[in-house]
Amino acid sequence: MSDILIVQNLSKSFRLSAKQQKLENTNEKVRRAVRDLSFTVKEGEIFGLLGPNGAGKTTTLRMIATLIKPDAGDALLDGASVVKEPEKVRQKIGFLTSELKLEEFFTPDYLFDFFSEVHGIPKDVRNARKKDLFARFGIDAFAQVKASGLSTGMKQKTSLAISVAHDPSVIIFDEPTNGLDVITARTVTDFLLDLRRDGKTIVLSTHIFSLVEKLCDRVGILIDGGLTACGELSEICGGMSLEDRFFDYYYAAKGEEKR
Amino acid sequence: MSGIFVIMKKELRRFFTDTRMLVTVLLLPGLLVYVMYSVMGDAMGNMFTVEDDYVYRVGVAGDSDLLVYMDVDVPVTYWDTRTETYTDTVDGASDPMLLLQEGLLDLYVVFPENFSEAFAGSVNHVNPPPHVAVYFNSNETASQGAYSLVTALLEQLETHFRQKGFTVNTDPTLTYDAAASEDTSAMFFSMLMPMFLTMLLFTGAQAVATESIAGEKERGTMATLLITPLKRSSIAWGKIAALTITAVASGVVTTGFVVASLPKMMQGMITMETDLYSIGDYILLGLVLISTAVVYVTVISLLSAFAKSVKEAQALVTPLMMVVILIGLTSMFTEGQTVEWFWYLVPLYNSVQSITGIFAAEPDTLGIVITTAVNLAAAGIGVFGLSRMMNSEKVMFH
Repeated sequence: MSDILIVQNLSKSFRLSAKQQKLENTNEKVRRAVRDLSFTVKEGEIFGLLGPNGAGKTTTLRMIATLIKPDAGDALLDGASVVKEPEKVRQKIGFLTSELKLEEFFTPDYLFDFFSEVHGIPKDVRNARKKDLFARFGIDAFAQVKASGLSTGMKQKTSLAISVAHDPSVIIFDEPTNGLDVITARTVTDFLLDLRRDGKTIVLSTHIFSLVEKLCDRVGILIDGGLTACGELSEICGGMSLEDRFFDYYYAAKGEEKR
Repeated sequence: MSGIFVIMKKELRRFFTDTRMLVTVLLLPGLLVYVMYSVMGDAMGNMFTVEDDYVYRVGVAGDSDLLVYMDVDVPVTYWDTRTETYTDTVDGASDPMLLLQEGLLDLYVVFPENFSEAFAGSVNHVNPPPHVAVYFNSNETASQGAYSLVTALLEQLETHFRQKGFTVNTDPTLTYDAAASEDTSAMFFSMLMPMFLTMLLFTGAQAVATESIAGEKERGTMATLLITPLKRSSIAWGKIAALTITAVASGVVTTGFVVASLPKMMQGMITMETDLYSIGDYILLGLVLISTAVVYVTVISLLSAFAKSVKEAQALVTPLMMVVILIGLTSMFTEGQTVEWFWYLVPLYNSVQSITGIFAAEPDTLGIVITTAVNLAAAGIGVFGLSRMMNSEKVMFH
């Protein structure tokens, strides 16, 4: 399988406001969120970025999704540069994160049509895809209800359907099961497995070990903005549980004794 | 181009299918103005006019027969039908001021002793003119009315008896005021409408643009839009175009209510001519309004893009609102005069001047063309800036 995503020396820093400095009890004015990050993702695999909160997972995914620009480095998605050809990259990806919200005034039905139109999907293709995805997620039952009247699970299902409305080849999910009830979380993970079966490439971020173990072919462990380990799950674990191996890497990266 | 239309459609759907938005932005401002002006007009009308069948209660002291035996040239008949005189009540020790303050009388006229002789002597330059005292209460509408009636009557009597060698404006068959009622209406509209239109357009633009830009940022839906393959410029143009349509719709509806309420507000003080303007005038007005709305929407969108929330955006826009009102007020002082062409190069001021000219029925076509071009160019620069801002993560995700 060829590499569909090549991340090359991505770096990103954020300036800390005085308020943030005070809140985090630090004097540093600039926070390096991602440091010189490089990895590749193969076509048709599920790649997981595993790390604690603040490790730089979301920042990395946002750079790949072209929502923010890297300070240095680049990422090539199916040959398109996230720095030089962001619109091309956006055409190829589906991005789902909790920070992307649905317009509360509109119904799932309208939102699906709108985002399909934005991606230039022909009406007949759109309708067939809508029928399929809405049936799969059980959206039909609330397709005509305004998003403001939907539960978190319903909204997440709608967002999920919309994020793949244009049948992207690469799907990027930031913490896909965060805040979901067990039923909806199961629907999401099953869907991700189905997508892989359909030959789609998935890049996800999470801090849930079991999710990585269940879904991912390969994993990158991200600590303090740097990639500590990257490889196939069996390779990374080396016969241990993922959780144990993660903490080995974590304490080694922090220069601390394992507790 | 298709991206612009997709965004436009979404924005227009958002506005025109949202009952709450339609009521608060499209109907309510105009309706409030209509109700407010009608109530104000009625209140002011009641304050300054007296019922047609009201009979003034006038106390007369001294040589009161004068009013009765006057010559037919003066409106004695009118005096007779509209007044009731109380010679007995006021004769003697009663304080005229107290009678007026307590509302027992509307007017108190005191003729000096031997008024007729003294008046005749003054006409013949034998003695100085006698003094007639007319007491009234300016706080009372009826008293004001009686005062106007009686003083006018006395002045006519005085003129008549002095038998001037000429009279002024006494032929009732002639019109002496050169201003046609059309001109008066045009002048009136040209002074008021620029302020109303620009202010109401701005209010409409403010309501929808802050919601569409800062609101989408605040709710996190802007990021959802920015992750699509649409060009930032398409998003910016689509939003600006849709917001302009809604701002113009809001401005026009509200202005319609204002125009409908003006006759009530003015309470017959001015005759409203409704067929002053041609189709061409309305087309020119449409051009100016649309180009002005584009400028407003663009500037408000730029300010909203900086804001983190709708509330913050509205706070940022408030000083601009003051500027718009102040510029709108300039039409009150120019009385429909046209200005030098280079003033049309100044956005906002050019719109006020163009609208003033149109409503004064003297549209400056070149000025209006310059205004439209300048406004559209300014909006183009603004949209370019907005696209750049949408590309800036500091602005969009701070």
